[in-house]
Amino acid sequence: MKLIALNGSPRKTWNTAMLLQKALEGAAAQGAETELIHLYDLNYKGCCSCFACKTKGGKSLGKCALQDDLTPVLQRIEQADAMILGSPIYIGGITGEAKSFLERLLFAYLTYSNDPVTLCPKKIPTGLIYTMGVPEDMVSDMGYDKYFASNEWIVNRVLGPCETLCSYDTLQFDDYSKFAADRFDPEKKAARRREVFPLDCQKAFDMGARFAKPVAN
Amino acid sequence: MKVIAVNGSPRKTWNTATLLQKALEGAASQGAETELIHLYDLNFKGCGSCFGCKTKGGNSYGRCAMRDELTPLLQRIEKENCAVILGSPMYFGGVTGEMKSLMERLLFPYLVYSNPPASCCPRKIQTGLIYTMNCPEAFIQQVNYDRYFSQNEGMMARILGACESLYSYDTLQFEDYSKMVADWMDPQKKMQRHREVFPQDCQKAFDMGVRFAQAV
Repeated sequence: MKLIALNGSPRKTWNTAMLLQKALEGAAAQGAETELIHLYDLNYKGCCSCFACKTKGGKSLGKCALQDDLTPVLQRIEQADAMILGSPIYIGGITGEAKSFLERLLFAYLTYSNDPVTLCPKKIPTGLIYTMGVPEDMVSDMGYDKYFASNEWIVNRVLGPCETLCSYDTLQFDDYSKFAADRFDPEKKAARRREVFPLDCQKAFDMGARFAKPVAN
Repeated sequence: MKVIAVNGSPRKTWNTATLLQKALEGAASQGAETELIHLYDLNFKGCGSCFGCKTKGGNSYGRCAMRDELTPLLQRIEKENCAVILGSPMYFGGVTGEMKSLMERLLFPYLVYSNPPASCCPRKIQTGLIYTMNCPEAFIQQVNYDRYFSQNEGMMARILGACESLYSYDTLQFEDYSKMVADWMDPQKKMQRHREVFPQDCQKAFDMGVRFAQAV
């Protein structure tokens, strides 16, 4: 069993990456092979609208024809048993890099048809992990709940069973005194990091464990 | 006076690019200098979360500290007396990843984490957002696009100064639908809409360009 995690954050050791590491630890604890890929290390673009993936009888039908650093990653995901994409929320959505990745992954499989709805050759259980500075009680006001639900819906349709994990009100900096950031209370942020973030890490660990032994759960 | 249009679509001659060209024609008709930049031609990433733009006393405070092919564009938008129009198709419920990456780099440095949040953008920039989408207008609320559009417009207005949006719905995706697996779409209806409604969208884009040239 192989689980691939994609880090859509530019930071390789901060909240999103930590949660992904925990998820992979959970999977590894069940004996799974794991891999963490940092999207920001790769040179690639989003969907280039060539529509080769939609061309009847074409050799790229159901596959992304764009060749760049993302190409081998997309191939490995198709061979994997599960995947998790992690991204911080930047100005109301996942990072542009995570978005470009998702376009390439999803659009190639998605059909403009109801039969079949996807050309993905098998079900790939998928986790979406979001980290955000926004506190949980503002998520609905910001419309993030609907955004998360629609991402889950499309992944579920195209790739396979999808679940979502959110980590709210995250710590942005090690030392708030160095930054112009009056709207945040450094002590409250630190307390939440100590008390709540470990629970989010546990949830990520459990997600990884579930993906590694789907039948038992 | 200048109007800069940024094409966030990978296609350089299709719906988004056509609307941006029309907007620039409108601006040029008022004597404005115009420029069209294809984002997919540039090698750049989204915000690197270095927080150089938020570091007290740092030499990048209020500016993006990343250096790549997007840097000159960001600098020109800040310094030149220009209006800016961002155009993007809607992919999976949002602007393209490339356009999102640009918006992060353009907006986040000016966003001040004060209470309430403020902007440190050194000048008021007139901006426009042009969206193209396969989605028909009747489904916009159902798929929450209305909320997405108003949030983007509000954020652009608060951080850069002023923003208006233009939407082109139910667009033509391919020249020849018979070559594609796309039985959801009715090629004749798509073509008819492209003939009858898209020219009106082009006129709206032209008018936006005229207004922006007059405002700069």
